[in-house]
Amino acid sequence: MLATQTLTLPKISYWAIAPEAILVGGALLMLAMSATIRSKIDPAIFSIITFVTSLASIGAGVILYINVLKHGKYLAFDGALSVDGFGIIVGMAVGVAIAIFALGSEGFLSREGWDGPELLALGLLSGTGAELMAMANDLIMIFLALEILSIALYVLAGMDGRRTASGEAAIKYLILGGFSSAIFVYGIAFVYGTTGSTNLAQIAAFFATNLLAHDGLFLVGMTLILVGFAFKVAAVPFHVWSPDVYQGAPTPATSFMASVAKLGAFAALLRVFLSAFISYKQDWQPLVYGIAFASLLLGAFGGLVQNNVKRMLAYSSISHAGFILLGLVVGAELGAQRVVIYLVAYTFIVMGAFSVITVVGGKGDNNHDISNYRGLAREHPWLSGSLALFLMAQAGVPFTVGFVAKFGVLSALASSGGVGSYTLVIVALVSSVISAFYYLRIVVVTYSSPVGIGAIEPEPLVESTHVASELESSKMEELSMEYSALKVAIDYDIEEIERALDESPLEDPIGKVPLSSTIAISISAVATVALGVFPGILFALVSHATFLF
Amino acid sequence: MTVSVSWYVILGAILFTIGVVGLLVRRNVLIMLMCIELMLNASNLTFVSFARQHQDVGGQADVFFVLVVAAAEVVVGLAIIVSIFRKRLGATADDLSSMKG
Repeated sequence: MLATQTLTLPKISYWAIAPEAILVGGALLMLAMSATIRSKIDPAIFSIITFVTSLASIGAGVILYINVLKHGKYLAFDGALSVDGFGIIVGMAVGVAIAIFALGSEGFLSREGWDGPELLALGLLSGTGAELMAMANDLIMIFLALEILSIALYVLAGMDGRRTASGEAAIKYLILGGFSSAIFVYGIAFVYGTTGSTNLAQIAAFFATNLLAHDGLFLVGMTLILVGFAFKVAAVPFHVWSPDVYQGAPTPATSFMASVAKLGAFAALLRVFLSAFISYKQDWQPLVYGIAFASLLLGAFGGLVQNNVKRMLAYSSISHAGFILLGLVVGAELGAQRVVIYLVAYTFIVMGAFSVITVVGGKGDNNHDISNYRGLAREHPWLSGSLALFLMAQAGVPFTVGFVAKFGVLSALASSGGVGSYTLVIVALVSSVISAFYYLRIVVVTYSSPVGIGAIEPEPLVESTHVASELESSKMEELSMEYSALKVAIDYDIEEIERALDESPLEDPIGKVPLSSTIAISISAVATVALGVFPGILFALVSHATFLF
Repeated sequence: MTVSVSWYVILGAILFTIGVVGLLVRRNVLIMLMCIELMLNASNLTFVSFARQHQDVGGQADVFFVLVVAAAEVVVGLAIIVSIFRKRLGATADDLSSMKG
C-alpha cells in the first residue's frame, strides 16, 4: 500500500514563466477579439498583436536573464523548470522566430483572404510550448511542452483547406508525431522505473551516488527518448515525414516547423542528455554519432533530386539537424554553447528564407516549384538577393552567420579529438559542399532569364518518317488534317499572345511585396550579415548559456 | 503464485508492441490513431507499475498528464481526420499520396 502523504504545494514563481505567460495572453486576447468583435478584423491587426506579444516575451526574457546573471540560476515550480541562461536564450530565439513569423504571415493572410486569428494564435501557443521545452527540467514537463508545441502544429499544418496536400501533411504529421510522442513517454516510464524520478536534477543526483547493477531497462528508456526526440527534430532515420509535411503545410506554418519546433526540441534534447544522462555518455554517444552521420549525408544527397523549394529546404533542415547533433556529440558546456549559437543563427536564416518563399508562393500558395523562381531577379532583385544571402548562409559561406554557426560546432568537435570526431568533421564538410549545390541551383535559377515565348523549343509533331510509314493511309489523312488544324490554331494563338503582350507585359505572379514581409526579410538579412561579420556578439551572448546542472 | 510488478511491465510491453505493429501494419487512419492511444496507455500501465514498486505517488500522477495529452491529441486528430475525409470516400492512409519524392 502506498503510505498516505501530505501534499505540499510548490511555491509558484510567476516571473519564471513570464515569457510563456505573455505568449498565452496574446493568443487568448486575439481569440477573444475575434469572438466578440462582430465586424471583420484586418489581419494586419492580429499580426501587430502577435508581433508586440513576441517582443514583450523577449523583453520578459531579457529581464529574467539579467536577473539570472545577478542572482544566479534557480529552479522554479518545485524543480519542474530550470531558470538558467541556456533556457532563456533559446526562449528568446523562439520569441524572435515568432516575431518574424508574425510579420511574414501578414502578407500571406491578406493575400489568401484568411480572416481570423487562428494561424497567429496557434503560432503563439505553439511557441509557448517551445519556450517551456527550453526551460523544462522534468521529463514529464518536457513531454507536456512538446505536446503543447506539436498539437498546435498539427492544426497549423492542415489549415489550408483549399489544397489537399495541406490536409495530407496534417495527417502525416499527426500520426507520426503521435507515434513519436508515445515512444517518448514509454521511454520516460522506463527511466522513471529505474531511477525513481522524472526530474532531471534528481536523475543526475541518482547517478552521482548510485550505480545500476542491471541497466538494461534504463538503456531501453534512454534510447526510446532519443528516438522520440529524433522524430521531432527530423533526424535520419526518423525524418521521413518532414519533406511531405514541409511541402504540404501552408508556408508560414512550414517556417514555424523549421524554426520554433526545432529550437524547442533541440534545447530539451540537449538538456536531457547533457545533464541527466551525462553519466551514460559512453552509451548514447555512438547512437547520436550514427544519427548525425546519416542526417548529414541524407540531408545533402536528398535535396539534390528535389524540384520543390520547400522540399529542398526540408532536406536542408535535416542536414542542419545533423550539424546540431554534432554539438551534442561534443557534449558538456562547450557543445551546448556552440549548439545555442547554431540555433540562434539558424532561426534568422531559416525564417528569412521562408519569408521570401512565402512571398514567391503567390496567391494560392502553390508556386513552390524551382521553375517558379526563374527570372525572379529581373522583377524583384531585392527579393532574390536576400534569398541568395539566406541560402548562402545556410551553405555556410563566410561573413554570414551560417559560417559562424558551422565553424563553432566543427571547431568544438575537432578540438574534442579522436578519430571518430575527425571523421565526422570531414563528413560534415563534405555534406556542406554537396548541399551548397542545391542552394546554388535555386540562386542560379533566380538570376537566369525568365521564360519567354522564344525560349520554348517547338516539339516536332511527327517524330520520324519511319513511324509515319507504318501508319495506315486513312490515319495518315486524319493526322495531316489534325496537323493543319493544329498549325492554324498555333499560329492563331501566337498572334493572340503577341497582341496581348503588346498591350500588357507578362503578369508578375508575385505582385507588390507586402511591407510586413519586407520588414521580416530585412530583419533576418541584417541579422544574418551583422552576426556573421561580428560573431563576437553571439559568443558573448552564449558565454552564460549554461545549464543549472 | 504471486503476481509481481514485472508482470505488469511485461503486459505493458506487449500492449506497446501491439500498438507499434498495428500502427505500422494497418492502413486506416482511425485505427492508426487508436494504436497510438494503445501505446500511450501501455506507457501509463508501466508508469503505475513502477510507481507501485517505488512506493511513489509521482508515477501515478504522471499518468494523469499522459491521459490529458492523449485526450487532447485525439480531439485534434479526429477533427483533422473529419475535416479532410469529408471530401474523400474512405479514411485510408494509402489515399494520402499526392506528395512524393
